[in-house]
Amino acid sequence: MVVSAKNLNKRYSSGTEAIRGISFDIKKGEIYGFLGPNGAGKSTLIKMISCYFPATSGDLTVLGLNPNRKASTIKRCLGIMPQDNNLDPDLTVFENLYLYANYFNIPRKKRLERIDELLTLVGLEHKRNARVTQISGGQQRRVVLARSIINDPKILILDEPSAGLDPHSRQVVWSIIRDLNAKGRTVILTTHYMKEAEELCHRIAFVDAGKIVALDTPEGHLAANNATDLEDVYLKTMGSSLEE
Amino acid sequence: MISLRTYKKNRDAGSIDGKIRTADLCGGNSIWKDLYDSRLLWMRQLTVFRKTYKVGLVIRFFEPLLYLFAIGLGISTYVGKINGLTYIEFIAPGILITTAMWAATYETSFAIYTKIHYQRTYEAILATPMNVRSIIIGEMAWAGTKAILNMTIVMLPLALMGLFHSPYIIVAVLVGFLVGLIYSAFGIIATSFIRAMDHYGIYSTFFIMPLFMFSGVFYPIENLPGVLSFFVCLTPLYHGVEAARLLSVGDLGIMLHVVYLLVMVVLLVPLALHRISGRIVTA
Ligand SMILES: Nc1ncnc2c1ncn2[C@@H]1O[C@H](COP(=O)(O)OP(=O)(O)OP(=O)(O)O)[C@@H](O)[C@H]1O
Ligand SMILES: [Mg+2]
Repeated sequence: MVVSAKNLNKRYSSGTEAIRGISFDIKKGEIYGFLGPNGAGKSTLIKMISCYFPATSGDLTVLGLNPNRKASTIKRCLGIMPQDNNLDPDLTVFENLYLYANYFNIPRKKRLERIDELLTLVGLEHKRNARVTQISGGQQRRVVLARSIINDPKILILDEPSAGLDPHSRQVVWSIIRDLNAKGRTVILTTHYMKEAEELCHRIAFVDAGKIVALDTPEGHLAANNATDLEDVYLKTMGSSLEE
Repeated sequence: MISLRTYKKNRDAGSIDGKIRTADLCGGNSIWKDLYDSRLLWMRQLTVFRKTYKVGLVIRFFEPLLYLFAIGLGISTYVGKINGLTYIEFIAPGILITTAMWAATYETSFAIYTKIHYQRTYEAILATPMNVRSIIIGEMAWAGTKAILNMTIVMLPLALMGLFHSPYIIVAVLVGFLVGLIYSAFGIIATSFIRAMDHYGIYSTFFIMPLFMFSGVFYPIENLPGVLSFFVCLTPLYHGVEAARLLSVGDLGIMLHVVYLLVMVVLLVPLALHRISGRIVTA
């Protein structure tokens, strides 16, 4: 198992119980999706897997290691794309990537090669020396994706990767995800976009109010709910829980 | 509350109940690894600095001259000599050391607040093998570096004016480095309490400015009432200023001052780390 969680809980210091007893196993080479309404706890889950903060209780291992003991070692093998574009506004696109690679101790020569390669991949060679405040939101999103794979991660963790992207850019992102997956990389993602989940994910966990309410392959979900598409499954699984 | 044993058991199993401490956010790294990693944050600061430094350098060069001319020249005709020094010669070492304080204060107040709350710089860096401890140590090292740099620039015009009687004044840059580390810790501690940018006014008006005015920069502290001079003796800036003044006349008897500053560094740096880590990661 690449990621394994048993009875995981997360209570924020504010008192919010964001995750309430979640268990799951993510296999090597799998594309695993977390779907669910706003505030369900997807980003919280992602942050625990990313070694950003510890779980309140329960067991979590990433690449067989304990995040509380071996965070640096784990993070060296993770590619993390956060929900918000937190690029460094003091720097250009190139400098953002260059310094980020520096935190991974990637040698200078390799770093420069890698940056050229990635900028071509996300179609932003022409924005190389632009300040990140001077490129569009979708372009920033693509830089964040490039940044997240700069260390050639074993696990790619994407929190709403295609949020704010036009259909064209979305295709680019999907093909990058598929290519990496074809090379054996594990991908964990969250999305509000059902088509994306259907296109990419091998397994989908529906999360609601800090719990996994249904877990299956896309086809399995369709069959179990007698549904024609995932949107339908979502609506049936989640009900219309707009309480709180 | 849970017992320490349960806490350790949970932590080793991968979870932490109760208040999350700095160590819990360091993911099992040793302090040595984090010290080594902190250079990477320092390099980020250098990259940003290199884009804008020129204007800053010019400001740093002229700022002390302003103090010296406005205060020094204006007052010196009334005060005569202090311990054999003209008034301008008396205040020059203090102006030099306070440069370190200003540099560190700037780097660790607005600058860090912005990086936490607006730019989310640290959030991005935490997705790499860095952790809160290597980040904050890197910030402090950078503040210390800026202290050294600014002092060097300030020293130039003062030395050209012949205000220092001994080349030993160069050693004051190292004293200033310690002062810079101490004030970076103060700045970070202040940042950990602050809930809005405007609140820095409280810190600068009631902490930094009084320290600046009362730390023996402008007159010998023996002139102050006994109680007050006792308190001044406790401030790090005072020891920095005294050490620099001794160096400026070629006196190397600064050992006690340096020891005091070192002790302050050792006490304040962990405190600053403890305070700020919970603000960087809201867990
Ligand atoms: N730093 C925090 N401190 C306290 N509570 C938080 C924090 N971050 C999130 N929460 C709360 O935890 C719950 C889960 O939030 P989370 O961000 O994980 O949801 P999400 O599933 O990612 O939602 P979205 O689809 O909107 O991104 C919410 O109730 C949220 O208000
Ligand atoms: Mg989210």
